[in-house]
Amino acid sequence: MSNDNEISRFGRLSQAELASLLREHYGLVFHYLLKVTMDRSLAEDMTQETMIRAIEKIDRYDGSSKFSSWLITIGTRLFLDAVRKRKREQKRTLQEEARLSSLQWETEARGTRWTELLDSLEKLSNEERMPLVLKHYYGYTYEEIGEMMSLPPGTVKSRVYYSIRKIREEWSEDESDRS
Amino acid sequence: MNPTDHENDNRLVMELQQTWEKLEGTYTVSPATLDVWESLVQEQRRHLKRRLWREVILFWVVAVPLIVGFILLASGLSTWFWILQGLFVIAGIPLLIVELRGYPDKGETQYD
Repeated sequence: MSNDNEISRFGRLSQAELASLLREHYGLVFHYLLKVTMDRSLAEDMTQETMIRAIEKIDRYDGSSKFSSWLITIGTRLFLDAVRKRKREQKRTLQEEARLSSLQWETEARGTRWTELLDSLEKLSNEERMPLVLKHYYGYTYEEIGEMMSLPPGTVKSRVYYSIRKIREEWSEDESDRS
Repeated sequence: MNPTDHENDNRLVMELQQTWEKLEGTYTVSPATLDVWESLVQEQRRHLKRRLWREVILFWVVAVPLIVGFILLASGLSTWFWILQGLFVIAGIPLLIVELRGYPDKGETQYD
């Protein structure tokens, strides 16, 4: 990516350069967080938070990884922090349940069919869904995902494996129901 | 894992990729104009600079009484040491309260 080279070559970016780089990556970060959170408004909030953190920490970006990967790492850690905090405070509630079904409602309102697969993905926990998306949509290695999520690669591998198993079981049940 | 399992997994992964692509297509994004982003970057950098200066000032506000105190104690001026310590406590408590109140609360509401 040429922008990544620019950052590593020129060190501190000008205001306009950074703004344009963030604008360019906004969609990518939002779509990543949408797939992970399965909640549009939360994904939007987290994306904005990611962008603000990126501005604060841009001096620490050394260009050793892609700028998009760096942003995804920030978004991942921010989201995991929020999830852990919520868990600590034991506030996974009806509000969260309502949010999940709100994505289904909104997706259908936008003319896209809510498939069994989306339903299965929604049923996974955030910690299961995140490595699955990173591995099978963005193509990161288990080591890279482990670094992003601060987990050993073996744990990431087993989470991806069991998530696939879980979805497959539901999927084959649905398929046999249909036939 | 037998070949059928492997094939099934591959099929499922492909279906998942298509599902995610569809989801992306459903929620298209139109980011704000470049001017808005530039002002966001400008505002954040300004905010960062302000925070940095505040931290430097706070550091010296804590360090100066300690250094002066040690100098006074070392010179045997214990009365002046206690007077200065008292003054610094009186000045420091309101400053601490202001600082704590100004600290942004990054609670879960921000992500809700």
